[in-house]
Amino acid sequence: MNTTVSMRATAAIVQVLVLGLVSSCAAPGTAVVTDGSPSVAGSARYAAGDVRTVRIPGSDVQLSFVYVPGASYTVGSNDGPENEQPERSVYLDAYWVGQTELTDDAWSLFRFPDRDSDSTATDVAYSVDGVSRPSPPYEDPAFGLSGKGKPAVGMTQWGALHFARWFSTKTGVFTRLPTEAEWEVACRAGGAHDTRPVGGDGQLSGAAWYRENSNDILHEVATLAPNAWGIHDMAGNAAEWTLDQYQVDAWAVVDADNPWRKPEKLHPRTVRGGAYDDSADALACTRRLESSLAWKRRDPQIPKSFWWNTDSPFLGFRLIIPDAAPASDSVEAFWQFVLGE
Amino acid sequence: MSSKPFSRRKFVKGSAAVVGSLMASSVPRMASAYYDVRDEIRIGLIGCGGRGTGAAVQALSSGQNVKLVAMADAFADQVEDSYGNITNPDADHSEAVAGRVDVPPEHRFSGFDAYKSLIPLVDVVVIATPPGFRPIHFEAAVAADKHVFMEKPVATDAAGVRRVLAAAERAKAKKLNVVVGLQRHYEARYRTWVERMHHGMIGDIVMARVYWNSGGVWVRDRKSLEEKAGRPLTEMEYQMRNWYYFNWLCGDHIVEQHIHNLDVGNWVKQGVPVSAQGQGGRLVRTGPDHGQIFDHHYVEYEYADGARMISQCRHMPDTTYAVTEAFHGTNGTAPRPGVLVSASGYSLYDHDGKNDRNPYQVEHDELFSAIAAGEYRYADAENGAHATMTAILGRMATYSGKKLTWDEALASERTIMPDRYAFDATPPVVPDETGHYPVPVPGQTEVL
Repeated sequence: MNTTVSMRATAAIVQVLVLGLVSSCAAPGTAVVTDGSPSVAGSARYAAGDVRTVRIPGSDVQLSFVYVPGASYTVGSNDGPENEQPERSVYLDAYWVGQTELTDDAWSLFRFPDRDSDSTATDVAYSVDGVSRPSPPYEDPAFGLSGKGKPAVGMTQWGALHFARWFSTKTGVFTRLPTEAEWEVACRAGGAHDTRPVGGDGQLSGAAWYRENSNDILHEVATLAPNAWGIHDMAGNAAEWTLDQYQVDAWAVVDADNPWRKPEKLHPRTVRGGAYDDSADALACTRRLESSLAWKRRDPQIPKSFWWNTDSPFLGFRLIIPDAAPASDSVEAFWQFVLGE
Repeated sequence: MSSKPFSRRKFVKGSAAVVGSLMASSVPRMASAYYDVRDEIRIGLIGCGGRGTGAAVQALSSGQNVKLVAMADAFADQVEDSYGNITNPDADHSEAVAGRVDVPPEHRFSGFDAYKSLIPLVDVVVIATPPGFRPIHFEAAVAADKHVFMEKPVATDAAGVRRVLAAAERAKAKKLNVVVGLQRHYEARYRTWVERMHHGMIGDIVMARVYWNSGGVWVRDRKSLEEKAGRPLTEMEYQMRNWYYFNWLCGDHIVEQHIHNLDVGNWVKQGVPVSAQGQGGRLVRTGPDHGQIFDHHYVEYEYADGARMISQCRHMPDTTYAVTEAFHGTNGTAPRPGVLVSASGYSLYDHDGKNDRNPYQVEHDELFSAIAAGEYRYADAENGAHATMTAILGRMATYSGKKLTWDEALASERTIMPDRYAFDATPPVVPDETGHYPVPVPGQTEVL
């Protein structure tokens, strides 16, 4: 299929996925939903910080997601680097954001077919053999930094999206990468100004793994203080892929309503959060990093791996669940668009 | 140790004959009958897998007037896929290779003898087949007076190493540039680090530790290959497609992959080991599609001056990762590539590699710049053969469970190569009735 045509044709449908349908804020609470969808999609039954867990069928790995109410939020800044300006307000539909970076425990179930199973949470047709999975790399893209309980790293954005589709199929819960705006709002926990996390002691080192405290390695997720909504490691540890094409003046030009800069080319895409090897400055919730082909520079093969970067052991991702589940035909169109199928 | 048989400085002198590679050292510009005065450097690619395709594109991106004019592979589909990937207008390299690819269908060759048709058409041969074929192809390229870029390792048995060593001598006599894809030699972090150790910054090197412990590499299983082909494969075709797991093609991962780290050990020691003993086996990777190779090897090498090299390589998912080298000297340590620390703990060197160039590109830039200038600067084949033999010696030690000397290993007449190269020929190892291949057993397996 001609990619340009396909992108144009699906754009309208895809927009529906990112746009929310109904949303409103609720009083703060700590309701916990386990293994499944909220019974009334888009309702106001949940409050910021509520947690929902989704188990990967056939395994004991479960992911936790934190509720972010549909509302208007501040993104960007007026006094940061040029690519963060201007500060503005955007409206986001409600969503559930991964409480932690995706761990190697979950990623391995997708990466290695012998660790996956035919089980799913729904009656969807699924076979271990029918899944497109990461090709084995010649060298470990994580250089040994990942592992049990630690962020999965080194994958391309395409690889991360394939995981999200696999996870959606297995669990019956539609997940995807966050848009830049969704990522930033989750990092700021809705805050208007303070965009750098701190621990209970008021120090960055209590809430984030970065150059000063990481010992130059990745750490297990959720070992430091979470932000005000209970979300861990938005800043530091692994940097994180988002769904957006990187554009320097994104905040000046994107829609005010569920903004998503839809990708038109492979690079640059937007990465957020800073990593274990970054300085404190790179950890602000507003900081925007652009992806680069240089992250594959040591890949001596052609075609270079679609799944792995050879030079980004600092880069992982977390998933989000839109609170209002999109219709199945638009879900398919979404995957075709973002995966270039 | 009461006394050292060789001090580092003496050993350097003694080892000059052992490591003959010119590396980056300067050689007087020479006029040679072997160089035409022609703008264009024509290259041919033998071995059109992912790495060969990458190497061809790097050659075309070297900044010299290089043109790809012929391609060869055992499999026609690999040639066509590679050609498609090189000429893909959407690829990142499309600008770099624009106007530099001229490989008409009649210059795309397949089959075991494809290289014979390719070599006469080119000035430089880029060789990236499975390593078992390297001696055959390198020999033929040198015989035809061609410059060579070839991937590591350069053989899978001692007989192959001897062929490469002999051809390396002829290449030197003919002043043909040869670069081997042991790319750490073209990486600033390693060059600056090793040079400082050669200058004695941490004293005499008494121990080396080298590692390639990782999760393993690709497997092309018979079922998927046959589904894709829509027919059963001959045993020879299956092994050629899933070549990593068959020793005559791959050499085992200690040879195919760990060679990089062993080579750094030799580089720092400026010599090759005199003996090795070790152990290994397979515990995790044991299926029919895993052929005959081990999934772990541990080898202790000894150098002429009594220094040891501890070598570990492992292909097991979810085990501790280490792909690195470290050295211990009489006056300090080299805990990891690019770093030197004095015995009292002070930093002596800490390489800042942020702006280092990609060594996979550098090796081509340097090779083609020499060829374009009509200069003879690179003679990597001998070092490549020594690095390969070092790994083969380790494999012989782990397969046999015996301590072996370099000299007896290199002299071994036991070949692991097929008698005949054809898709209907019987490979040197075949599966039993359960589909499994014979796996070496220490204490029983003969290696010499």
